[in-house]
Amino acid sequence: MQSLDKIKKYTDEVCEQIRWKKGTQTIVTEIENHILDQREAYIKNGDEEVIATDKAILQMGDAVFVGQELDKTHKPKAQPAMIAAVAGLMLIGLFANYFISMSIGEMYNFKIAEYIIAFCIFIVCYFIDFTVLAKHRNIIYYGMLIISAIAIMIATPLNGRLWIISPLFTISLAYLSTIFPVVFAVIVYSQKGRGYAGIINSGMKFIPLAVILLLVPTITGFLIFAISSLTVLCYSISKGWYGTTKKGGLNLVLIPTVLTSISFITLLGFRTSGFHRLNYFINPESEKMGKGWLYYQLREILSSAKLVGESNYMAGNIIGKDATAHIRWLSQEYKLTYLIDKLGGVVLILLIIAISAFAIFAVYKTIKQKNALGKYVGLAIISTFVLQSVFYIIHNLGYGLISGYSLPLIISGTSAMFIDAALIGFMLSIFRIGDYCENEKNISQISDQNTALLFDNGKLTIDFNKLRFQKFNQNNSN
Amino acid sequence: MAIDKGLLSGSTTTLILKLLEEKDMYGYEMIATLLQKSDNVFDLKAGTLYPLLHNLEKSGALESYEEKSGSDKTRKYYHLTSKGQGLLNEKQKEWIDCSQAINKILSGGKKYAIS
Repeated sequence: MQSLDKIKKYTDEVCEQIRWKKGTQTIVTEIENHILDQREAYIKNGDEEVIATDKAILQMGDAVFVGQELDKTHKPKAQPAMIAAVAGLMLIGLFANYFISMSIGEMYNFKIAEYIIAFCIFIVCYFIDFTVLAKHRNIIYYGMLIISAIAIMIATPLNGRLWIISPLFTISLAYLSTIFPVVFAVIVYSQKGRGYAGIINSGMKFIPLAVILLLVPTITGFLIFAISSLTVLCYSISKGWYGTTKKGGLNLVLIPTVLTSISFITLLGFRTSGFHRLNYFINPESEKMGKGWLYYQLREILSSAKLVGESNYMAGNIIGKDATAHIRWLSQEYKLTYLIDKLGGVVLILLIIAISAFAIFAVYKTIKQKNALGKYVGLAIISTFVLQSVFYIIHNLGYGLISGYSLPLIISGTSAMFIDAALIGFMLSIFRIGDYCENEKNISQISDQNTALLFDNGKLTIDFNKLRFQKFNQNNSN
Repeated sequence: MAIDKGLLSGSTTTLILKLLEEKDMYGYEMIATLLQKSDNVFDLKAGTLYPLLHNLEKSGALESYEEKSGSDKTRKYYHLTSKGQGLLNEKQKEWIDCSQAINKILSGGKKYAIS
C-alpha cells in the first residue's frame, strides 16, 4: 500500500467515528498535516519513507479512539433555549392576536395556522446548512437583483407601496429589506483580504439593492437595510476582514455615509413636504383634526394608559360617526397601541423586556461565532430584527417619523411572519453548526503594504504594480 | 525515562496552555516543543492532543486560525484566549499546591505520612 493511501485509510477511519460529517474536512487536513510533519521528522532521522509513514501513523494513536474522542466535541450544538425563546415570542403574538380579535368581535381574523406554519418554517431553516450562502454567493446576489427587478415590474401599487398580490399570498415588496442585509453580509464575506478595493466593491454592490428599496418605495425598508449593512460592514472592517487599517477602512465607509445621509434627508424634506410633516410630528395638537390626528390620538392613548388595566381612551375619546371604523382600524394597524389601551402599559414593558433579552442573547452568540460567514449573516439578521422592532414600537407610540413594519415573530402579516421566522431559523442554524464550519485564514496580519488601494489622511493612492500582483495571486489561487 | 501515563494525563492541559502562552503553535509543533523542553520525558500522542485541543477550543480557552506555511501546507494554529490564560493560572496554582503537598509528604521520612 502506498504511503499516502495508508494516511488516507487512517483519516477515513477517524472520520467514520465522527457522526457529524460536515465538520470532518478540517479535522482530516489537520491530522494529515500532522502525520506528514511527523513522517518528515522520521525521514530526517534516517528512516525510509514507508517505515517513517508507519511510525508516524502509530504515533497518532488508535484511529477509532481518536475518532470517538473527536466525535464528543464535533457535534452540532442544539439550541433548545433559543428555540424555546422563539416559541415564546410566537405564543405572545398568538395571545395578542386572539385578544384583539375577541375584543373587537372579529374572531374570524384570528388564524392560528399562520403561527404553526411560521414555526415549521423556522424549524426547517434551523436545520439548513447556512454555508450554502458562501458557495452560491453570486447566484444569491444577482438572483436577488433579478427577482426584485421582476417583482417591481409586475407589482401592484397600493397605499403608496408596491405589492405582490396573488391568490395564494399578498406581500409588500418593502419586506425585501429584511432579506437584503443577509445578501449584503454574503458580499462582505466574499471580499476577504481585498483591502480598500474590497470595501469600495461592497459599497458598489449595496447601491442596486438600496435603489430597489427606494423604488418600492420604502424609507423604513431602506433604513433597515442601510443600518444593518453598515453594522456588518463596520464590524468586519474593525475585525480586519478586508485587511485594511481600522481607521482608514471606517473613514472610507463613514464619511460618504454621513455626507449621503445629510443630502438624502435634505432632499426628502424638500421634495415630500417633509418639513411640514416634521412640524405636526413635533406638535400634533396644532393639527389634531387634520394631518396631526393620528400622532395626537396615539400619544393621548399612551399618556392616558394605566400601568395595569384598561384605560379605554379609544372608546371614550374617539367619537363621531366614523368612531367604530377608526377604532377597528387602530386595532389592526396599531395593535400594540390597542393592547396598551386595553391591558395597560405593562404590555409594552413586558414586550420590550422579551425582545431585548432575545436580541442581547442573539447578539452575544453571534459575536462569539468562530465562523466569519456565520458572524456576518447572524449580525445582519439580528440587526434587522432589532430595527424592525424599534421602528414598530416607536411608530405605535406615536413617535414614528417614518412608518413601522411589524414586530417580528409577534405581530405581523402572514408573509412577513414567514420571512422573519425563516431568517431567525437561519440565525439559529448558525449557532447550531457555525463553530464547526471551516475557519478562515488569519488575515489580521495583512497590512496596507500589500494592498493596491491605500486611503490615508484623505488621500487615495492606487498602486498598479500591486494591483497586477494581486490579480496574479488570485488567478493562481483559483 | 519512561513515565507513568496517569501522572501526565492530569497535567496535559496545563502543559499545552503553557506552551501557547509563549506563542501560537500548530499541533505537531506543540508535541515537538514539549518533547524538547521536557528533555524527551513528555512524548504526547497526537491522538490525545487533538481531541484535547478541540475541546479547549470549544470551551473558549483557545482560538484557532489557518495559515499557509512555507511548504504550502495550511496549518491550523492555536491561540490562547484571555479565558485560556485564566484557566492556565488556575491550573498552575492547582499544580503548585498539589506538588507542594506531595513533596511535603515525600520528604518527611518513613513515619511522616502516618504520624
